[in-house]
Amino acid sequence: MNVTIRLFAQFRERFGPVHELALPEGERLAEVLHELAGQTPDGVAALFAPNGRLLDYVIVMQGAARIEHDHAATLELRDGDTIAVFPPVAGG
Amino acid sequence: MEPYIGIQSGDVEIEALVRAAKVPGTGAVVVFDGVVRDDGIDRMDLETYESVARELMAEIARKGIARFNLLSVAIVHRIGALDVGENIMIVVVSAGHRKEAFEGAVAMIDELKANVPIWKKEHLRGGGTVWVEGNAEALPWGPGSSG
Repeated sequence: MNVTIRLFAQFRERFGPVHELALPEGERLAEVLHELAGQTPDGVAALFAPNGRLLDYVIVMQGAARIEHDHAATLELRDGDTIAVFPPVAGG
Repeated sequence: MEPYIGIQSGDVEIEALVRAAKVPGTGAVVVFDGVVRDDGIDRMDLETYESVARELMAEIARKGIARFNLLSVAIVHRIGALDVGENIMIVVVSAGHRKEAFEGAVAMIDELKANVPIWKKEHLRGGGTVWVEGNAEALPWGPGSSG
């Protein structure tokens, strides 16, 4: 299946703006983000706490729906998903 | 009336938005012009998650129209590199009376600032850059709306 990961602001600078991933069926959101983060020095620590949970200030969306951090560990991605990862917003 | 939503790099034609806001029944037009403040910076860069930002701006505007009985709402947010003094976000609201127009504008601006996925990176006058910190608690897609 194909999944797009989009990153914004500090996370875009660290990990790049877009990653188009071809993944096996059943991949879970947190695993995919962990693997992506691990490709960059200190990347895992930028998104995840030592216990493996996403840090509080990391916002993750699947389409237009925000994903609860506890849900990210078990959420299976679907073909065509767009996942967005960004810090708290500061517009206006 | 459907709100007008804009996300653009160029400046905003505020007078045109004010003219368009004067629909039949209008007794008050409120204009908010948020500008880049000189907090020891030369400029700032703004970026957005545009598809989600547009959707959310429209939702905030529609809620504002319904809640405050507004006649029209236009929201335009700029992105890209902006110098000190440039317009960042323009909100133009019309209503039958000033109270609804002012209160509606304030409520929508607060929600826009807290919720719309837009980020600012400041270029400090002495060199270096810093991302403006946002509020993690204020987002609309809270844990209860996880999908």
